[in-house]
Amino acid sequence: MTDPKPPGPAGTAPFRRHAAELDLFAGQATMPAARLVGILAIAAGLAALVNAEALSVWAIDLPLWLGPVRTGIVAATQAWADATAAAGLHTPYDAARDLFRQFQDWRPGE
Amino acid sequence: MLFPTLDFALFFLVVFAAAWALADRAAQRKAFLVAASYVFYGYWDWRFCLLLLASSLLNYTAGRLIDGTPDPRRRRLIVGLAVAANLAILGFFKYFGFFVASLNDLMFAVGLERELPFLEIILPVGISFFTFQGISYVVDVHRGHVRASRSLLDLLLYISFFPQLVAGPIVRASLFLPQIENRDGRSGPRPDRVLAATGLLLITVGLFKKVILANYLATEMVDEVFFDPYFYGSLDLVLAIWGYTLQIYCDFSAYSDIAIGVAALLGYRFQRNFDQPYRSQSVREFWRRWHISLSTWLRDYVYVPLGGNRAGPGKTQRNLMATMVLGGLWHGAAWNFVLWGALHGLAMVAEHRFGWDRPARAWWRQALAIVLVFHFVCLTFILFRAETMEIAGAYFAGFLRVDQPAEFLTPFIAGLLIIGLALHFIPRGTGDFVARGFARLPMPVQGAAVGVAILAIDAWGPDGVAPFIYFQF
Repeated sequence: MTDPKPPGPAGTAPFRRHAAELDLFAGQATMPAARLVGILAIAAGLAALVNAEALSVWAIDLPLWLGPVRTGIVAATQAWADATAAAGLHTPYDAARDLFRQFQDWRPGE
Repeated sequence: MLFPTLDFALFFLVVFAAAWALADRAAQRKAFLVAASYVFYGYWDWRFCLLLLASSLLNYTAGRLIDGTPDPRRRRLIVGLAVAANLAILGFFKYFGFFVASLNDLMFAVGLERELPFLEIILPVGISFFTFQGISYVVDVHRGHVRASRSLLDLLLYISFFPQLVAGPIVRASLFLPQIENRDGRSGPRPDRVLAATGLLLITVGLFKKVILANYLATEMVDEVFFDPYFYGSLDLVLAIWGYTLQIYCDFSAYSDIAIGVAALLGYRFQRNFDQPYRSQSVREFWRRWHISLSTWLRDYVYVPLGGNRAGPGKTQRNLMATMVLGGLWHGAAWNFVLWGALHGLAMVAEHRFGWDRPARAWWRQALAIVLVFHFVCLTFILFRAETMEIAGAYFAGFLRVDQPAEFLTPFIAGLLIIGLALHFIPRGTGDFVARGFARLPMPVQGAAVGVAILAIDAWGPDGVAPFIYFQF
């Protein structure tokens, strides 16, 4: 907070140095948006397979005024959650959750 | 709409897909992003959108008027009125109740029985952030640091862009407007050059900090202790204030990380807002690393206009104090925030006077300085977190209760504290190294890695997500 001159677009040397330190993206690799679409689609697909229950819980919280649209989404997400659970796709998610809860509750000596 | 929710994830996937589909149509892309930002903001309360629109129109008009006025006196008048109008909006919504309560207390103290009436005013979320952006815009136009935006759409997007709208970072017009302005018939980010690896890394780290570290520190320890500090012994009180100090960092820096990451996925570059603040060796350094967009804002629009360090040590120290007290008041309309800012100001004045802010050379002096500054920050955060000054007083008094055993010293809490602190001592280039490694992976592996990371955070996180602490500011 002791920069002696008001920092303008050019600014003082300390200001420019500080501005350079704040750049998170300098020299970072870029990629096409299409590739990013693919990454997000795979990530979202994986999440929807392994934790489909989150989708059905989300659907139940949809506003009632959506009427039949809401009913359809709730039914579809519930069916999807049941199908993925029957196929055992939730197992790793549940196991990770249980293991974490055990650590959370662990008291040495008890 | 909170970042770590399915609501936001679905909202973002739609916005992301549509924004890149409109990559070749700059005006439509900007209009779409403005509409999406207003939907995001209206999710809390649609009436807030009117305030956001009014603030944007005010600053757009002021910028155009300043730009079109050659007379320096008139320009000064316009910028003064625009800043006053911005502060009036902020003052009404955020500080009206505080001033009325303080005035009533004062009148009662001097024996006057009359009370000024209170108004029930809802604090619009993020008002401090977008008001400060508006002020920085008109002042920068006046100073000639940025050209007044000719496009209302550009200014609407600058003020309302949803990643940083409700809890920062406070983005400068000189950084953002050049990224969206029409030049040579083309504007906006290039779809073949998305800073995706760093953006995804920031989002993932931000989710981890918020969902795991900040949420568990709050629910498993900090909230309980601050609710009733009379009940706990000194060791628990120490653990809880370490916990809160790390919680607020993990909470607020997580928001910034996710905001910067989301903006990067949409093609926009924001600056770093936190830089491992708890490894600071002086309070001055702490403020160069903590909430950088606010501390640089205060430097450029309060400290430097007051005279900065150009008029001798006495006035420098006065300016430091004034800036930090205002910084404290920015955080909340209550005396505890004012006192918090004043204590930081006093520490900086002392550092300036005695030369304590000079970097130490010996490793042990550096380590000692880090420990001392960290604990100064911890102790002042008691004022920040306590609901009332009485609670804060009880918290300080509780440090003398040394005979009670620690209730919260569990492996889980210790693990959260250690990870929260360790984040401050990771070598600086680690993030870049990981992002570059991620960028070289095949696309299916990248997608699976992001999916597994998000699933792990979801599985390990508590049910439900608390709002971010800085939403209240």
